[in-house]
Amino acid sequence: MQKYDAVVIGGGHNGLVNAAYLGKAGLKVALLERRPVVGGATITEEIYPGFKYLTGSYLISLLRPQVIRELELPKHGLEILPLESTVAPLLDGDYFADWPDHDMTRQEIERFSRKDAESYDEFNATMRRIVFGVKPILDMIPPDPTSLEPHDLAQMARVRGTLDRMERRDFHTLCRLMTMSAADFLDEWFETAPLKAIKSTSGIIGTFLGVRSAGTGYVLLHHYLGELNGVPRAWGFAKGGTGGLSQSIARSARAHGVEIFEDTPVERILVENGRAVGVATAKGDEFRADRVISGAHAHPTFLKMMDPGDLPEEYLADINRWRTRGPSCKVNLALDGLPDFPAIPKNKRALLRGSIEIAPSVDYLEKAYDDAKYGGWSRRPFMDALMPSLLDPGMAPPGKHIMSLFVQYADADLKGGWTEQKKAEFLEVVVDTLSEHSPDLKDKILHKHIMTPDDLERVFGLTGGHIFHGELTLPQLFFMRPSPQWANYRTPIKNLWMCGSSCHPGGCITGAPGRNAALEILSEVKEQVPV
Amino acid sequence: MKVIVAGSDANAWACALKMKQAGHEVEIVTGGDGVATLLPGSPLSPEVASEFALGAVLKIVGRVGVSPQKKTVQLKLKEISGEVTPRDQERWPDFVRVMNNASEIWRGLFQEKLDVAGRWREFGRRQAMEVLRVPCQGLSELLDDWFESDLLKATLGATALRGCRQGPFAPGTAFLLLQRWARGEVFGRSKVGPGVLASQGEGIRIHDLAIESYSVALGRIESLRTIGGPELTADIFVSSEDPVTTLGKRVGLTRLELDTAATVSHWDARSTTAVARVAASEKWGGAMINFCSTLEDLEKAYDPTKYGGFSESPFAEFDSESGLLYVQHLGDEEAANKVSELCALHELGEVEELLLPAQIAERYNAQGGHLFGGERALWQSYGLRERLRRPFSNFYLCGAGTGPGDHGGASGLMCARCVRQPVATS
Amino acid sequence: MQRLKVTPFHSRTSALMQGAEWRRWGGYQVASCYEMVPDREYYSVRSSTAMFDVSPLAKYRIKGLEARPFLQKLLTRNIQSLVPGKVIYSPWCDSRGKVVDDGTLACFAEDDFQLTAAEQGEAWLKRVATGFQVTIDNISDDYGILALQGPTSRGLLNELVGEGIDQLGFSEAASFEVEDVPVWISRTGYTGDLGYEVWVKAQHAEKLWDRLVEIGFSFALMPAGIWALDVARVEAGLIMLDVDYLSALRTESLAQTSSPFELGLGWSVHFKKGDFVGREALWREKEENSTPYRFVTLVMDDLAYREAFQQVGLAVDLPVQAWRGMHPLFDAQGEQPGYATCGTWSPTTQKYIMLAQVEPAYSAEGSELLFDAVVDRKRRKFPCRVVKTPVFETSRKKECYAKV
Repeated sequence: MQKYDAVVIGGGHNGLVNAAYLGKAGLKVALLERRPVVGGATITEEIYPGFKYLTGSYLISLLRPQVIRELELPKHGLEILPLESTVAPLLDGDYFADWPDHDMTRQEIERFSRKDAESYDEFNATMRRIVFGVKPILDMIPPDPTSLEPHDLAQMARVRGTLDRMERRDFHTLCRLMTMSAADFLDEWFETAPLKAIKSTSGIIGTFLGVRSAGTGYVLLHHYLGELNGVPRAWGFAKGGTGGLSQSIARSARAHGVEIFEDTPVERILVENGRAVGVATAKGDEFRADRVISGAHAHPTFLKMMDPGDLPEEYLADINRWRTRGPSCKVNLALDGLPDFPAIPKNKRALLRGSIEIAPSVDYLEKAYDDAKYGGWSRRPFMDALMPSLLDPGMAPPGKHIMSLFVQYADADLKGGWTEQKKAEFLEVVVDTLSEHSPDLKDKILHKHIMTPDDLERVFGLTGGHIFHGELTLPQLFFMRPSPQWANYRTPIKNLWMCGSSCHPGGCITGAPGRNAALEILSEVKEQVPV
Repeated sequence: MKVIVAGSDANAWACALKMKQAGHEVEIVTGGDGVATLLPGSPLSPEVASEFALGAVLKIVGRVGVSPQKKTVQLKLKEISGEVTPRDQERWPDFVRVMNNASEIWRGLFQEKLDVAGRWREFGRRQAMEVLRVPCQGLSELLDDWFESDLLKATLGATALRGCRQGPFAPGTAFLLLQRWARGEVFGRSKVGPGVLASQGEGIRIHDLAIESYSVALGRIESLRTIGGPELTADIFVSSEDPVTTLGKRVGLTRLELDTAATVSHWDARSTTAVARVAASEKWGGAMINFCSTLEDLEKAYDPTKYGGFSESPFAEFDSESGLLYVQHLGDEEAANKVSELCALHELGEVEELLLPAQIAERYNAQGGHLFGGERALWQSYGLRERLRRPFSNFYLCGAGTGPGDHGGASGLMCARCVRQPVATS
Repeated sequence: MQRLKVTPFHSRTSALMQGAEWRRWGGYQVASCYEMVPDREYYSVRSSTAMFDVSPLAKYRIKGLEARPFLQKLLTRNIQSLVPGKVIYSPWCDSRGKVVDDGTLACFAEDDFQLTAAEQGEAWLKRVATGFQVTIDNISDDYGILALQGPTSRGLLNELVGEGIDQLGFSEAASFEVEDVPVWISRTGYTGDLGYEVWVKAQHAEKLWDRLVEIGFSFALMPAGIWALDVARVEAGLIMLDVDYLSALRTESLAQTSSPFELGLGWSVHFKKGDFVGREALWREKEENSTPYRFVTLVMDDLAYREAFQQVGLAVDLPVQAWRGMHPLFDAQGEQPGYATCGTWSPTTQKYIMLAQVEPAYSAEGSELLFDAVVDRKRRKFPCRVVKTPVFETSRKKECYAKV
């Protein structure tokens, strides 16, 4: 039986990043993945022959540039194509669009309001300044704010320092953004209904709250924290789907000597004398290591792979009350040709290459939430759609297309449970709603597939189907994530670490928890090769 | 300096008395009854009570939650009883401890001398973080974490949401419970009448006049114009009216600094709380009553208001001593019927008067008919409302729209503390 | 397919475009230069008449009972004396006293004004207008504007609209007719020379252009692009948004904003008139004398520059087109007390001129600084001297031609 310096549980993107950094630093690392292929929710799956489905995540923006550079991901195959535009077909047959070019976008907004066209510039400038002030916090290890240890005090001072650099009025805007609803915040800037609607969707992605719920302002800000090629807030599509990204990280990890074991579910984390000493797989093998790092969700990590009795009561209470009830579904359609969206003018078909949002108004989005929040689903869901085959032809056979649909809301705790019949029913609701905007869609569907919150949990280990491993609301952010005093990637069990989205800075494809955790681990390792 | 304070509530009086103590010449322009008269149960702040040696201003009356099926739950600081599980009863003291600690910190932010961060750390790591969680969470999040009894949760939720325009599912709504808890309003009620501060106002000239407007020039208020009375001049002007009425209506948006104008334009003072006057009742021994059933129903009552509609089954708080019923999320057409239904169901007798938000707005000069001068949500609280404290170099706001957000006088005291010699701007 | 907007003169300007030198301005497509080389277009400004299509200027009609009080609040400048028929220039600031934009304001009547600006800024105007009884109409797309600048422009306009044009003093405006087409002409410009700006409704734009071209021959009228305008405006010491300063609404940091005092516009800040946006902040800046930079024109020692090229066997490379950017200026100790924002060879004054912002200690006339330039792959520093702004002045700009 081999002994490793580190065993990483879960080959999601953060687990892969973590393993790669540790391997790069010279540690002997084994990464164990339950499924046949690594990636976690960052995966591309050919569920229908010839068609590469995005069963989990679908776009990239928050991937930390340090991760791209330090793990040499382009060398290992990462190619990110920019997502150029956003279009929302509206219920009255009109459309609203956002282009990558400033003047083009202005023209689109001017169709509704000239005032908003300038407010948009000011809004973007304000968001850029706020993001600039807040971004350094993404790469910080959260301190313990109750502690008077020099290390914690220094870190709190650093956090304050980065916020103090902001102009007072921008700091006030940040405070309001963190506590308001996305819709209310946008109401203060704009009068154009469809503009407010598509902007507010960033506040609810993956979050079981409505656009009018306080706290969605933070989620909106969260989605502004990314960049591509140095361009703030740019979003992109990885060639080969997000699976292309996880594969490039896996290759980087392997290149640094990490041993990746797929089809290897971990059953138990082995704890001896209050220390983690390795894991036991479902097949009965043991992987012994100096340290165990879990990239999995906090719930399966602590409630399934461990004996809860091994954990301190308070920590267990925090894990148990962790809010991880998700509202998201992922639908993929294999299409026999390009569907028509009559609301989009023929001379602007380039917009089909970008994001297509089914978010015609703020009321529509709020109703979608109201329908679902008592254990149901949206009668007319919100959708963030994409046809990756238009950007990356390899995703579908020639002339055919796939459509990836991120859908909300459908309660993870659906009344009566997610039976096969319920899943099929909601899939029909999704297709019907989309067909309102694309009349020939149904004729073109060759195959359709849905991941409900239940499937997201079953397949990707995301408890409650929550794509961020738990809500990104104030009580679950920064030094509270996943438990106060344990937000620095450590756990109450010595040598057991967490490196996934259950930790700061939370969800989206960032690689930040994986990287931050690796740097913390390495700072404790006596001999290390500089990263 | 000569100081004119506009307003008649405890905030106006606390500010006026404090400024008089500091040696200034102080006059009060009452402006008629303010919206504070609709909140006779609201206690004075302990700080104000001690500052002016008022003795005990709070009396403990307890709280009762009553469901439509007439099930009840009784809440006292020491214990809960009625429709509650033993597990909830066991957890109650710990909950009280967290809320009391959080209240101390919240109140401390508005006091001069307390080292808030230090006191917070003294709670110990775990308790300190529990305290920090409270204002960030949603009501349903907080209450579901602690308790399992529906009526208990609904009662605490309804207590928090009185006078507010949010639902319990939204993050940050636990902050509303914290605010009432900190003021002693969850289990207590005011022991003294509203005029108790006025009785200390010897030497303060009172103008019982309505306020029309303020005249502004070069970043200073020049005078206060009254209706049917003289134009009054002073060195310093203070107003306890809500920010939008004061700055939007009486000063005028065009005269404001742009940032102040923006803050005023964005000030959320929309209200969906109606106030009904029924007969005072001895039935519950003077307790505060909440008519509600589950947290989900509180959220359902709130939902239609997001689309300009109103609740099918509103929930309400009853101040049994004064006979005032605060009904949430009521609109125009169905309002009277719904209130009558509620009163009939709980045997409260005839509705003597029903004031909808628009009527409250008109009668009490309160923007939006809002009972607290503006929504007391996180995004309009603490530092974010202090921006409105001094909109002109010689003009201050001291009402519920600044400070902790109540009519208990703390904001008035804070205001008096920060009044300065005006700076020259020309 | 999505394209940039085109001005009402586009059919005529595109026909003249020889070198595919278009640029963007305010979401429009306009010409940088029509001919293959820019020289003649520039020279026409100083020797005959250049015709610039400046239609992308943002234009607003401001009307209502409280139009004047609103404008007094918006602008730093006192507009009390602005009567019908007159035009004034003013910047406007945010509440931190930082410049948002600058432009001209014309008065038609007591309740009727017209504002222009380099870039669209309707949201800001409407924000300041909150509570005022005033309407703000964005008429930007409704009009084309031709700027006719140069010594023969008066003669040309006499031909176009008659003698009445001679009554127009500097910064005055009036309505005229060109063959039944109403035009509004202001004696204003961006070149520091004798010149006029002619406004015409979009649907009549081509007609106006054709008439001007028809009569323009004997006045050596030359359609000219923005490159030529740029050189002339640097000679005239006039600031440009996004070159010499950034709008306070869109900067990434406070340090990138500029107060009017930094841009040589202190003369347009009138504290005594009453409240305006930014007054308190500007008052404090003035009281504390805390303006970090002052606006200056610099002349570089072009002989030294020429010498440096000669030493490496090259002919001197003088910029025919004004360059733009943030170029550091150094003092003798190697510190950087300022930056140049644009520079050009000025054929009229035969000098290498730059507009810059330098620390107050270096802003007096005669102060010396060093400019960093690359000569054949190597960086060299060249002496510059602060001179009076503007470097180019002519009496014809403000001369009164009215017959008494």
